Amino acid sequence: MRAIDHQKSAHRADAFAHHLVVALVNLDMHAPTSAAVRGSAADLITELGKLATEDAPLEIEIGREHLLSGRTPLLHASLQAKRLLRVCHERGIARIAFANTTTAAELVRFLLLLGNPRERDAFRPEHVTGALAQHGIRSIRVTTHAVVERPAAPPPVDVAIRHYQSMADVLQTNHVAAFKGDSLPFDQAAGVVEQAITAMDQEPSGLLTLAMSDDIDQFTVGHSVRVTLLALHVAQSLPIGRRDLMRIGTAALLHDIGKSRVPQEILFKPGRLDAEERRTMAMHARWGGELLLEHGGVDFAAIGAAFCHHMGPHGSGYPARAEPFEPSGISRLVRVCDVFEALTSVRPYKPAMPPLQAYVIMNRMKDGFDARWLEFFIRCVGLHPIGTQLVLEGGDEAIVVGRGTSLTKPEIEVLRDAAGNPPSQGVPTRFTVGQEREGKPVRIHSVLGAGTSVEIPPDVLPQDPPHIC
Amino acid sequence: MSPDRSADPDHLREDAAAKRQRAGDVVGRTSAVPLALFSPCDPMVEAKLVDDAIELLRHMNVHEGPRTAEFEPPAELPENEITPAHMRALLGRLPDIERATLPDLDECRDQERLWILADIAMLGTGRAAARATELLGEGLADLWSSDGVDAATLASLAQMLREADARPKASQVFRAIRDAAEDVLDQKHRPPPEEAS
Repeated sequence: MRAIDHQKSAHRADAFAHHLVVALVNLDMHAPTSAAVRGSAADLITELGKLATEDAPLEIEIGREHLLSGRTPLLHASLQAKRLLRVCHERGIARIAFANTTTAAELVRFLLLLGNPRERDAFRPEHVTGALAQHGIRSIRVTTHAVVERPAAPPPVDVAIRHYQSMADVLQTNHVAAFKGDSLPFDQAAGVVEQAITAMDQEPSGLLTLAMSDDIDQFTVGHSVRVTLLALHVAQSLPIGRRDLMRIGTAALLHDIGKSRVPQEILFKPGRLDAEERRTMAMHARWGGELLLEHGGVDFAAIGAAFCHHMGPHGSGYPARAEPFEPSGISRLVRVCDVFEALTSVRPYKPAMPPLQAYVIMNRMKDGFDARWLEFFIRCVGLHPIGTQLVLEGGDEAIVVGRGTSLTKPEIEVLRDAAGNPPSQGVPTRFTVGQEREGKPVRIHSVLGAGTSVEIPPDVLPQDPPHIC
Repeated sequence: MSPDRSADPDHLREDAAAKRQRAGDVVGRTSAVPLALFSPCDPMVEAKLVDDAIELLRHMNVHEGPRTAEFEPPAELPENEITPAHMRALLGRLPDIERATLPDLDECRDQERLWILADIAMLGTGRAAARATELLGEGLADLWSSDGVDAATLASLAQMLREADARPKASQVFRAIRDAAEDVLDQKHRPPPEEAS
């Protein structure tokens, strides 16, 4: 019970830290009195009300790569937190404590002070308490390092997180610049894509695991980063050079840049969009193409992907265009990755669905995709990608840990039996689907998503699926 | 029999004043233009308003004209429910998926470039439209010589630009691009010069 409480608390702290990141970016884009900033502050106060008590404020620790709460890394919030981490590292901040008496106005004043480069000295250990009081901030306490430590080389998992954070950071910067009508720093996008390609060469599974991460998307940034990682993963199976990989990665990273021109109340509307709002939202593809074209200096593949990533074959999809035309190979690849990511991640209006369900839906969308790219994508990513949670016939729960012998026969690790007990010590837990286990072949009963499960009726499985060569 | 009021100059003036008053009321209700700026019965004002309305409709037609693909965004997200039949349809494709060949990244690359530039040149706004027009004019011959764009595509572009030319806002640049497209087509269809013996 205590473990569940701790998990819930960490989840809420993650949500609070996530809203903190969102509020900081919103303050870059909007006036402190704007609806967007006031909305962010209200979200923060709501989350704080669930976490802080009179005696115990909510403490967010500033780690090297992560935000932490009670020494637990806040993974989802940390993925997009590079800006917040950087600002805190530059000011030597070790911990921020929010009392339950904190008001929305105090939060906004605090974030304005934190984000103002001319106020760095306010966070010097000898000044910080007085500076906060001077700005009317009495419910937030800041603890600083006496000496700012130089971060040591991070462990391998953090390398992947750092690359994810870098891409998210560059995208945030580009979206903010596009929103304000400033010139866009495209060269940074190419730089982080190149670093990601190198990281994927060295540790292929690290970044791909993050591609399946389902953090709630606030600025379309997390979505675009994950689309990029999926596109690079598929593209690495193609006989192409590094230059083409860079073109694909950059195109995928910037494909939704046009959303920076969609009003935020439409972009983040929790309910269903009406016809007019959908029409406005659909303009993002055209706006993205125009935005990249007018700024110049970007490869045309990125313009193509931004313009065409909602276009299907034979003139289907949008934007409305003067003459129907077929999108390029790169745009078709980005489209498949884009839809797969949208279906398999959490959205305000839906839970994450398992990859198999996403494939079935994509296969059902007639004229939605170039069949060759959809097939190639499934072959590369896998019918049951690594990390997919399964229920086996008999009720045991398992997780996919390897590609196995064919698309329908992945390698699995049994996690617990039907009663929820972990496997007994010494009993084999790793199998390939179809392999004998206790006298019976291992079969998948259903695939689990976040709060959903997709049953695979036994009669629909191919009798003798061909093996991967 | 009632007298013919129109024949009476005094009544004519009264009728004219009443009409002017009614016209002023209508314009006052439907327009924010200060009435002091013009006489509501001035035929030139009506003509100007009609011209402006037509111009406005033409601008709107650039986005909704007959050559523009009709777009009605889907009313809702794809239904998340799947049936065994849907599952069977996907799994039935597994042999193809296992043998999926490498698609060509460069497929339709030049056509995509050409049509996006043409599209933004015609339907885009501001700097993007100007930049697209410029790139389209500069790059047409290159696109053609790259063998990525076929004669049918180019002819279709020339036709689209010809229609754009008929619109009131078609610029000299559009005409230049159309002429360039037609020049390239001419060169392609011109018989090769006979070799000197």
